[in-house]
Amino acid sequence: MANQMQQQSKAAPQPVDRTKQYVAIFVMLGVITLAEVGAFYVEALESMLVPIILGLTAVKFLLVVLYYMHLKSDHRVLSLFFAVGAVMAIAMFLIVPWIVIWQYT
Amino acid sequence: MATQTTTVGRIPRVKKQTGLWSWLTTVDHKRIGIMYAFAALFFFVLGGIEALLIRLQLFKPNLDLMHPETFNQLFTMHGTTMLFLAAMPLTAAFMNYLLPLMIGARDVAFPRLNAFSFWIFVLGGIFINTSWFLDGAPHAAWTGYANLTTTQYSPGTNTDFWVLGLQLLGIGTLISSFNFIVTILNMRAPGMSLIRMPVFVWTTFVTAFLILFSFPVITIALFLIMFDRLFGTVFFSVAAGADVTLWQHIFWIFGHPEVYILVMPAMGIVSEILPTFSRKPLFGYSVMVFSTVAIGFLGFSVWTHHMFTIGMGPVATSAFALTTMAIAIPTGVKVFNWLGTLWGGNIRFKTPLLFALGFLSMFVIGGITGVMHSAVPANMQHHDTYFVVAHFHYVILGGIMNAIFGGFYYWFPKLTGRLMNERLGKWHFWTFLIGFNMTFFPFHFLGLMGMPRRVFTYAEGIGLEFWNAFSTVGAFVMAIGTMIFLHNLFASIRNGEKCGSDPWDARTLEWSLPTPIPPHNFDEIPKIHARDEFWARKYEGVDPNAPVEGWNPELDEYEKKHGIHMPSPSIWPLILAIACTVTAYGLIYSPWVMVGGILFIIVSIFGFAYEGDDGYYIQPTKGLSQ
Amino acid sequence: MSTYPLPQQEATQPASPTMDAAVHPETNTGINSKKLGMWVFLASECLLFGTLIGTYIVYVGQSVTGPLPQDLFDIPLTTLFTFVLLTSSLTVVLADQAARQGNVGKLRLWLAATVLLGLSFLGFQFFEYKHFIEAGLFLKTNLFGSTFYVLTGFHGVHVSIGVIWFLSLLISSLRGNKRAVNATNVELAGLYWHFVDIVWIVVFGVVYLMSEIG
Repeated sequence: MANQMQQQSKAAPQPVDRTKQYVAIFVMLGVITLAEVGAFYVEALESMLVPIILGLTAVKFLLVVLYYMHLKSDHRVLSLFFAVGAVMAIAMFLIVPWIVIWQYT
Repeated sequence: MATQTTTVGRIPRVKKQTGLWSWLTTVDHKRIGIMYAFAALFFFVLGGIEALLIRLQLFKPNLDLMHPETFNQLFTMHGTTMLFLAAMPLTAAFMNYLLPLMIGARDVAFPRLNAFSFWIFVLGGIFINTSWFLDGAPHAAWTGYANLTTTQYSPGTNTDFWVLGLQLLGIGTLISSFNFIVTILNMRAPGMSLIRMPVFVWTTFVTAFLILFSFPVITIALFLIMFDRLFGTVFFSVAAGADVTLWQHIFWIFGHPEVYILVMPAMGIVSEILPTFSRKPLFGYSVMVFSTVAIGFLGFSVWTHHMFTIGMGPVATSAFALTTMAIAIPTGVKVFNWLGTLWGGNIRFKTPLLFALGFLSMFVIGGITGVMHSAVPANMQHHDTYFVVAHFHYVILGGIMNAIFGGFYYWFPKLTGRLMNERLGKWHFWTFLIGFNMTFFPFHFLGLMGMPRRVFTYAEGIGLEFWNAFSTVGAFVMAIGTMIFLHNLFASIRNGEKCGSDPWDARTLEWSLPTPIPPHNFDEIPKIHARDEFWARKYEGVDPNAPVEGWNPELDEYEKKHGIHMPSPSIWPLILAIACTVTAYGLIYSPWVMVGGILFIIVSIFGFAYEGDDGYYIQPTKGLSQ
Repeated sequence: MSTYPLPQQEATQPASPTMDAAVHPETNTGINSKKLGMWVFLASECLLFGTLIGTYIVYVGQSVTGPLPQDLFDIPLTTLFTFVLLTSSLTVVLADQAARQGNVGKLRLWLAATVLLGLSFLGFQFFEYKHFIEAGLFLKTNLFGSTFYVLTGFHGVHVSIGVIWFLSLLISSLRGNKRAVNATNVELAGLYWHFVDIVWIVVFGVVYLMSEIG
């Protein structure tokens, strides 16, 4: 097995050990999650809660996608596909609630 | 009848080249394409019979040929069958057969998944149609509007068959789209840059993306309905505060791209036929490609034009009216490009060209009524009348089916080495075209006179009699045309006039292959030097062996020495498709069968995965290569 | 249709790197086809979960009867199981790295850790459902019940598939199945798992943390 894997790793762009980076990302994800939950409990932030949560969620989303799923260093066509899918999903499902609910509230 | 059994892992694999078993286990894209075509033609005839019954019921006012409930089932199944079981698989037949040939590949990227897509389509189609013999067919129209599909208004199992059947078909279609995207991106022959691909490949590519982003939406929509019906959720229960227009939004976010999923490959077929028969390159290739992509994107921004009458407020309504009108621009660009291709060409009026012209003219009529719908005040008058029925039949039957018929006549010699009969082909064309216009042109009048769609019958003396009767006669003329086609198709397989491997003096790569095409397609992966590679080789003195960028001579050497790697046949695609279908029946009739079906699916997936995708090697015999 | 009698040769395991390259010729994009397929699939999954989350958003605050989110949600507990899922993403990415490096021991360790973390997430979800059902929230109770259970249930099914996938990789690895466990297969499973994780990141933000609003 090791033999076969070494062959594969030869093709991989960077066979460097990235454990530190992965752990650092993990710590950041944890800290952001705690910040979100903190914001949830602070009453003074209530009016600002939606943008705060959305912003922090977006940061976590991007951290995982860029570093854990390697989109930062991988082929750009992969990022393109995923971005189109994600943007279309977000756009269409903001428009639908707007038409059905939000424009009347 | 070479039969070989090899053991890969623990699963024995049978390799047969002929006989039923070889078709059940095939992973060859050409065979899968042929099976798609015949299965889809079967469903096309079925949907046609349903249409004739509908027209018979509407022949005269106050006719009572059938129960109104049967009428509901007929028009529901007619729409569902024609869209999902006839038109889409027919385009899939062309994509499967031609895509790898046109880009110079030996097969699609995932041959076994391709086989799975096919089998689940066949079984899904059979699944929906078994409802006729059980408790009745689906009856809430192909759009399945909530809350007509809730248990309150559809208490039987009719709608369950529709929901689960479409779910099965959707899985297959989605997997096809993954397959085609990866194939086009990853498996082009050296030199075949994206901008050298035939337009049919481009339209397939855009179609695959439309499927990719629209089918998950219908998957969820169907799940919501399924949960409402089977597990008592309240997604579309107004009493619980739900909004039934949510279904319409979700459905049309899928439904509008679905229309483009159908029409794109048809446009691709026409874009291949026109240059061949006018002996000119396609006019404005890059504009054509750009328009295709633009239509693909815009197709996702127009869904609410199907629901202007629900009252979405002026902002949303105007915005979607504008995007709808905007779609006419790239579409119009394409029409002018096709005309530009013909202009000044050395035109030969063979049957494929006739059908391509049939597509052009009928599609333009359907397109113009489409623009009429985008004007909201007019839309309020057309909505849910026969005017709309006329519009989409002009696009789908007059447009898409004409292109598909043209494709049959065009590529038939490539499959069989025989031509389809020209004289019968012309009879087919004219009866079909005249019958079609007799049937559907009066629908414009009927709609503007206020005849609503999906009605069981109509009253006497309100001016609807003549055109309804006329239309029914037209439907039978069209049926005669279709019968001529089927006769021509089957008779020509055995008795058609023999022809060489390139009877039309065509332009694209598939015509450079011998007929019948060997299982591995290309003895040596071709090198692509021009957009119309085969034409360039024939008339522009391009040397087929001249090196191109991305060409790896070692690979060719290796294949000459060791043979060509071929994917092994597999029975697991069929087994997995059966497992999914069993689960669908279980969801309707028995939780135990459902649980058994899910276990069966899991086992099949493991069988599929652990079988692996290794293959065998074949050595092309010398002399067959061009 | 056409039979083409050709001398056939049995497939053998790739004997040399060159032969391996011939079986899987270089792709135009340079991306492994399976990996590209996985990304295309994930792009499609965005719309799948987009529709579910969109449905949830449309129906937020539209329920005519209780119980409502603010009566039921236990944010500290949910935070805890969000952490479990985030940690599993770390173990997956480490398994992926071990597979690339050819370190079988570490690969098995991280695969096992992922399976355990995935299972504990499912355990948490089971516990949460049980708690909600005891509080009177069923699928059919109100729009919140319908949208919440179907959205999180769909996610849960995805997690379960991921657990089964990693478990089968682990078992194959322990049995020394070289065909089944290679860097590509681990990477594919990893991509899938991270996607399931980011869906949860969005669900946690939109469904749980915004539950006091609207």
